[in-house]
Amino acid sequence: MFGGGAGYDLWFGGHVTPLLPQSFFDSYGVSDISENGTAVGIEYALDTELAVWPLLSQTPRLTPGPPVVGDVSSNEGITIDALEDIWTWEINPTDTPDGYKNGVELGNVTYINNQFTGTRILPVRVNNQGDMASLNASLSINSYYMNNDVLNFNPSDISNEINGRVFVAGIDQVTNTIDVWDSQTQSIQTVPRITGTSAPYASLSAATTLLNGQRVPAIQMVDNFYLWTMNPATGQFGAPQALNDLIPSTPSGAGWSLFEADLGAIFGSHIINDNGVIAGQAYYTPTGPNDPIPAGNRGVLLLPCQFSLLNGAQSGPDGKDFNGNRPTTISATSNYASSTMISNAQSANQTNIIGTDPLGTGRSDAPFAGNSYISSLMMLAKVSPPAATNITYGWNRTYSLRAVAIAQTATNTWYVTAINFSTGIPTPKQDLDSSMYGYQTTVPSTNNNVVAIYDDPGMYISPFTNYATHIGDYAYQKRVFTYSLTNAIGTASAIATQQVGTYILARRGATNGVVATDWTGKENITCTTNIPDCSTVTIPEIRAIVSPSTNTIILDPSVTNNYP
Amino acid sequence: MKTRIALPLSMLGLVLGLVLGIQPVKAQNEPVLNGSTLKAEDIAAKADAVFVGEIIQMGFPNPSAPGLASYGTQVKVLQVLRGSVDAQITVTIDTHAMNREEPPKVGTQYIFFVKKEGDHFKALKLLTATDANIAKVKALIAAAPAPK
Repeated sequence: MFGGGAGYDLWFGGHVTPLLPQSFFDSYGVSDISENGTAVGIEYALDTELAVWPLLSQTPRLTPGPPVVGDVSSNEGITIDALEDIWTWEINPTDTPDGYKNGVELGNVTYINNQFTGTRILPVRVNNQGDMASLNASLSINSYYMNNDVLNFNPSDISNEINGRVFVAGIDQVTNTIDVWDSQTQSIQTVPRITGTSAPYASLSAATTLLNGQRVPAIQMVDNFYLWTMNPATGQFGAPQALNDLIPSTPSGAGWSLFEADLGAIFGSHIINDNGVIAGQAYYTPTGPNDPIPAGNRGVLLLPCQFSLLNGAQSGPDGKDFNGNRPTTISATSNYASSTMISNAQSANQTNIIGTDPLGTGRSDAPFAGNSYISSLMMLAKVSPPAATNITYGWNRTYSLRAVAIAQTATNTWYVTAINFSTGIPTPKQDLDSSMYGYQTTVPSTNNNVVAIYDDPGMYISPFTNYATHIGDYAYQKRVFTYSLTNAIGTASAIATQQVGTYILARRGATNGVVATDWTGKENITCTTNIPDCSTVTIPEIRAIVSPSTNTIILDPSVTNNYP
Repeated sequence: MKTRIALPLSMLGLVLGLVLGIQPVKAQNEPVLNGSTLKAEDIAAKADAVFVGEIIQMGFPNPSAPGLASYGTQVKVLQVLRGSVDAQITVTIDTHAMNREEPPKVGTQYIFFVKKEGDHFKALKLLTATDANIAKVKALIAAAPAPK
């Protein structure tokens, strides 16, 4: 599970397995991915040739080779500007630094972008607007610039320009920290490096996101297998996330086992770029003999994805707004107006709210109507790139569940018995039939790139009546949903997941044979924190429910059974 | 002199039915079961196993996806038509309210089209185990390749 929060906090990987031949990864790494987040190309800087392979088709847009005149050697640099001009340069210490544009030598690199005077001005990175981070490598002067501004650190990457604003990342070699310079504020934000790591250096990716109706920068930074995300609201980077954690290996021992994402490197040999897409590579282990994907390194994309749970709460971590903007189909209150999506999922007999329904309401389908304690929810995911790209989004959901009756006995004990539901233990149960109901969206909304899925889960109380027969007995259920957002680029797919826990408790107040009036709802919680353990129930768990009663609690062996 | 032609009431009904496009009612209505919107010929090619079995125990349903009720069942396998399954297995069976599907009944025999899901099987489609249905499914299996 990935954490939540405002901004671009969450990511998922999209592998592009069929598109890139393994031979390209055997010796050379991904160096760049470009163009407004639409993932059009991965570029390679090789010793003797260049290649640009588009991700969304099988045909290379730029054919590998011929060798670049001048040979970009171990001290090479490469960047591609907004016009797809390929800029390369070499700084072989035994040679005069030379620069090339599309393979044509321009002479001394001082002349590239022609923004500086003096000798041996070496471009570190050129962005989509022609902004250039550079090094004055004259023997008497060794300093760094962002256009005409002096930087007091060694720049490794610059972001694309957002509303005239550029960010520069690099290493302060004195303090061994990552510095990020903001051209608008002319200030530097310092991020501690991961303990024990050294070069290579940080790379940046610049995107924008909507915050309270304003388009603001959303910046990601990668350094040495870790990812930092800037909170658009505060402008501050959050805690680092290990890139290996962002590509799950499923099943265990198969799938992605290594993620060599952008290490970040000076002179642009490994850079991340443009509107929230990060390119890298990962080693794939086939899931079995019939897996059509062969073993080997493959290209990987990391795409931003932020989950948000709507459970009716108006405050707290699960009730907060979504970047200040809820989808237009949902009002800002827990009692939302009917939308097309919701009205498709609900019938006239259902209570039209997000959050806990009065006991006995919330479902109209048999046998649950009138006999259940329901709490409706929506899961939202803000994604990037938006629907305009060739990326297709989708949803999946599974669950595991444990339900027990807590009944008083004649010997003043609480006897806890499992209720035989279809529980998904130990294998989580599939809980989705997208073809049947229109309760999900998979095309991101045009105003804020959100896809959503609705659910109205709960506890079916009728089966408890034979186990919790006395007034004062309890029905208790806990469940873990795992929501997965899938994407597909070509034939491949990848997922990000968000777990949602539910705790439901009802107490019997009468024995008239009518669930809605015999039982009283005590608790119906939907949350993304404190996810329950559904493998069993424990004595302390039951004690918390029956308290202040101190009667002995006896767990029937069924509470650890794996029901179908 | 006008001649009056008297039609038997049953014949009148038939004529009216043909005019209105009403189909004759089946002698015996089959229940609407899991996978009612899916064609057996499509599912036969996707199922890991197809067998005739009898429900010997029904679990309680659980409210989850809108309109969906899921039952955990114990099934006694009587005749394997394709694939390999044990003599008694666990099968989860979903019913969709939108399709007015009804849960299977304990003690009744059905044709199961199932997919393996971890530690249990999930029913893709159920048919009542009539002789006609069994013959039809056997023919489908003979014509369709087993899933890879």
